[in-house]
Amino acid sequence: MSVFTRLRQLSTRAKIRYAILAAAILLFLPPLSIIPQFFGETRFCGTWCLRMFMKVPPTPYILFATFMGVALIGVVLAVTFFLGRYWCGHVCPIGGVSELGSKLVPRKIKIDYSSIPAPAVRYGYFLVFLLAPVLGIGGLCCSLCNFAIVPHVLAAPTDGSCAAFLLTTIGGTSLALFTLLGVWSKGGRGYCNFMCPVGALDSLVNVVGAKLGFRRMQVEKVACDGCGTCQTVCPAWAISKENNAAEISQLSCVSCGKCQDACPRGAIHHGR
Amino acid sequence: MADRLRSAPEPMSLKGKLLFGVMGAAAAATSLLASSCAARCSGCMGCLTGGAGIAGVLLGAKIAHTIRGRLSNTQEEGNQTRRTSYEHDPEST
Repeated sequence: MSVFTRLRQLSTRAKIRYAILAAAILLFLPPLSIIPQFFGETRFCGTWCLRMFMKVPPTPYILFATFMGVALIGVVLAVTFFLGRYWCGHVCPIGGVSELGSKLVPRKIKIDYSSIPAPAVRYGYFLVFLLAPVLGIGGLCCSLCNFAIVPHVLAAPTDGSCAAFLLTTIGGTSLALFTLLGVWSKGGRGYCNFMCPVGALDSLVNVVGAKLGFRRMQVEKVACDGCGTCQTVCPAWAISKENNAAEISQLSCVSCGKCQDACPRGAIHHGR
Repeated sequence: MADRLRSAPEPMSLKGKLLFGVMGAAAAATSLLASSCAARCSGCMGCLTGGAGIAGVLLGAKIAHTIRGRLSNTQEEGNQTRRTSYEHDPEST
């Protein structure tokens, strides 16, 4: 089936989501980097860094350098609290590159990590991520960072320094890890599910918002017959089966709406 | 369909979740080996070790989980076969 036929078959919701992801990639990432260029930058490593605010203690330089990153994180978490993880599922350009890139990899050779309980691994990783700087054993912010490697890959054809970075050991290792956990994984969200600290923070806020009764992806248990179709399409491996009905884990759901489109019985909706 | 897709047993116990949490922490610990390398490389190959560590932990976890799922499926099938043969064998009673 050609790409155009597959695109035509997509629902309006999916088309809008992919269009927003593509727009975010163009706005935030090289070669255009339209928004960062207003601040004299081309990549996420600087004012726009979403991770660096987790470094402890926050020196004046870090606070100043990450001002836009801190503001962006604030907006992301506020949207998540009230509406769900729209940043991760609809806007994040890094997750977008990973998810869209994974569509180029044949399904047969993709790695299915969905059998691993991603939230457990994610929060084990996140705990060390937060504790390491406090304990004085180093920071993981820039370590194998997905926000660093993707812009380098996209800028490599036009920027010699980025191409050179990919040929270094750290560049190659980061690329290999991003490929293995991201593009090559089923759904293309392996890196987001296991290692992204922004995603880990966002998921926690998502759960708190859900507990307080804000709108999230929900399954109508009466209508669900447990066919498992939603489970196959979920890029975040957030759906499991309990008592012959689908169950959505708010710790993993990115509110992409793929399950909603795929459900043959219309049992999934975004609501309270 | 979903049963065929998920080879691993569900739901996972708290102990199992904690085990995977420890695996995540181990992945982060190996990631520490790679910290600060992007800024200054001293040729220690810590990043390579860190990356290989993370990939190893996750792929290892996946392999272990798949094997565990297959073993439990085989065990279930074995139990079902025994039960069926017992029910249909008149001499066994």
